[in-house]
Amino acid sequence: MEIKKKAKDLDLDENEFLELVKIFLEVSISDLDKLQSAFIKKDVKQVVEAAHSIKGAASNLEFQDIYEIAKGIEKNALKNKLKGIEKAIQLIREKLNLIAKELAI
Amino acid sequence: MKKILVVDNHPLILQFMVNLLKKRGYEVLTVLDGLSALDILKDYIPDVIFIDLVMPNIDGKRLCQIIRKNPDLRDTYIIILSSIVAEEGINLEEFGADACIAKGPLKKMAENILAILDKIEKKELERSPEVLGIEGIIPREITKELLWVKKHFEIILSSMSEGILEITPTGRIVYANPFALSLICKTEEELLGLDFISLFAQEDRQRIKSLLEAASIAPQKISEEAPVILNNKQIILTFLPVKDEEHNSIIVILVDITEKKQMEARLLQAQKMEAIGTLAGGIAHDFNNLLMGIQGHISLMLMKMDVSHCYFKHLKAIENMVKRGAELTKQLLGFARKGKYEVKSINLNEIIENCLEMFGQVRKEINIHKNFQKDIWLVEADRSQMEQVFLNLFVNAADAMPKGGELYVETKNIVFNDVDIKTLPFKTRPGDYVKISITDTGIGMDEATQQRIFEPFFTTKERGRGTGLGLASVYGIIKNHEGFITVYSKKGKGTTFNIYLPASKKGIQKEKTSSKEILKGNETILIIDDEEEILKVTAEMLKSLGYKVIMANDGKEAIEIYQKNKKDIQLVILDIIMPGMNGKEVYETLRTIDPKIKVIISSGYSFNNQINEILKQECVAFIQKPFSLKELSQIIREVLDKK
Repeated sequence: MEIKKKAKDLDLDENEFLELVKIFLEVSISDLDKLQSAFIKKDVKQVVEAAHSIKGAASNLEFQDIYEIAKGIEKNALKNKLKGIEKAIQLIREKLNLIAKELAI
Repeated sequence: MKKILVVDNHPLILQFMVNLLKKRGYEVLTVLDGLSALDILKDYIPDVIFIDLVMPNIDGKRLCQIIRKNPDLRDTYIIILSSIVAEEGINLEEFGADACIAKGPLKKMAENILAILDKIEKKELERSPEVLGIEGIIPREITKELLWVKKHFEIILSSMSEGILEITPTGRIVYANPFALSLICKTEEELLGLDFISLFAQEDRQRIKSLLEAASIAPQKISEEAPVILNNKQIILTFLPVKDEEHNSIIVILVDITEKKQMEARLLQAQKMEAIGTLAGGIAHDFNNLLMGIQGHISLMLMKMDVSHCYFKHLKAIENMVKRGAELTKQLLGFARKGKYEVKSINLNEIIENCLEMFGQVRKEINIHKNFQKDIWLVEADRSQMEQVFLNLFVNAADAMPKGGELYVETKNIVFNDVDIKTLPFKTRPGDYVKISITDTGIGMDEATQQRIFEPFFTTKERGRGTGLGLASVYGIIKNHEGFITVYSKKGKGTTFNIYLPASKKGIQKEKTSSKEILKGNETILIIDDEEEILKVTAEMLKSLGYKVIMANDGKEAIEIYQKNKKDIQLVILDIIMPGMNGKEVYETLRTIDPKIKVIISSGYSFNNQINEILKQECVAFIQKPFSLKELSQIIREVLDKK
């Protein structure tokens, strides 16, 4: 990922961008853990809330792919469909790890 | 303009806002929820507040409304910063907000935020329903669905007849449904952020505090069986702990059981009165039989005794005491709701007028004010019992005014419809009623006394003055006439008794006049009573009147005798309560032998439905024990002379 370009797209300087991504990663990993345990407990409401939070933050920083996956989870959970969520959670986790790795956070 | 407060539960947004605004020289404070915002706003007045809509512990909409009610913050701008406004649309008026910015990519958000702040600086900001930043946002139909689900919950919560509160583990209120607001008697703005425990009376607080502490660590709901008092209502509290990784709060359910408790108390009181009534009726029965024995012997002795005899005045004194004893049992029977003896359609104005005349002669220090309904409806009642009711109430009023006072007596025709009866403090049927109000300006009563005044043997009067039976009999008689009585009293001010009696559809009926003489005869009379003593003394009385007498100890014997001698027997005097075959069964059997049989029913107990039914027949009369020779002689002639 081109940090400079991404920061510029958001009209932020590089340090600011990195600071916000760091918060994004921390909060989203915590949300993802919540999502995972809510999925195990079949707590649909909690699944929706956690996915909604990840989706919003991804949209703020324009991580379009994470935004799309989180949106899918939220949409299905609202219809009480939890099938395939585990895979989606895994996918988001991988993407978050990738961001962390690329930005050396 | 310098000071800005940002309220949002996502750390990313908070950090972004701090960076953006600090760079431009603003002083920025951030908080994660509505409740924390309210705490800060107690002594911090920002120029602008940015508020997210979906937050725990008081959401954005309510926070906006609370802020708008705070006069200290009237010049503060409120800017909504939310992801849901894009789909939901927003009514800024309803929120009290000045502008609204949709969340989305940070660049776009920053532009919109700075543009708004610029307008505020230049005092150019005008409220507009437009949501800034909505363009370019990917449509979020999901959020719409989320809101839809939320609306379902809101509708359910607002239509519930239990109060629902959400409180933080430290007891701060962050949500209240409409029913909770009405129970607590506060608006949402006043209530949110308040300490839950502070809503209750001092004596309940420690208990609620312990419950709250228990609920914050309990895995399951905690219910308290004993109610707490909230605005004079009795409330049952149930605490439901709500926990997940992030949030920790307690849902409190408030159930108003005031009405249920009142109903229970009324039922209990009714059962108690019923039980005492049964007991009182039983005692009265036995006493009346004893008094009958005494009265009978005295009557016989007096009949054969000259006035100059040295024992004459003693016997007269005993007879007087028997009369007083009989008065007492009459009161008891009244309370026991027995003894409704001669029911006729009567005009209560006339009866009250007579009673007042009698009463006014002996209590001249009391000023009587009458306000009688013209063309008052008739009621079906026993005249002597009604007199008993009014005299008792007048005497009671007089006793409450030992130094004199005012007595107001009012009668009124009233109609209770289906709606009215629901507001009455007693259960009744809709229809026409006659209401009698008796008000004194006496010493009045406290609540505790009012609760007990209709119980027999309850009296506040000094020893020897009150029997404690007056109001008890009033209560019983009114109940027995399918009416109701209520009492309103204030200590030091006076008391009002209201009596409601169902109006009669029948026309007025004449009452019989009684003769003053002892009437004699020579017919043959069969008397049936299980009490040997009564049997003997009644037989003696009858013989002294010139009658021929046949005695029977029980129903079976009586029937046998009657079958053999029915041509000779002109009258039967029948006790109604007997072991084995009871009076009613005996009467029915005798009637199959001779349908035109003439019968006088006698009872020490009372008048009940059984007797009532028998009395509907021709040639049947009733005499209450104890009876005097004169009363007996008159009723016999009345029945025998009936064609």
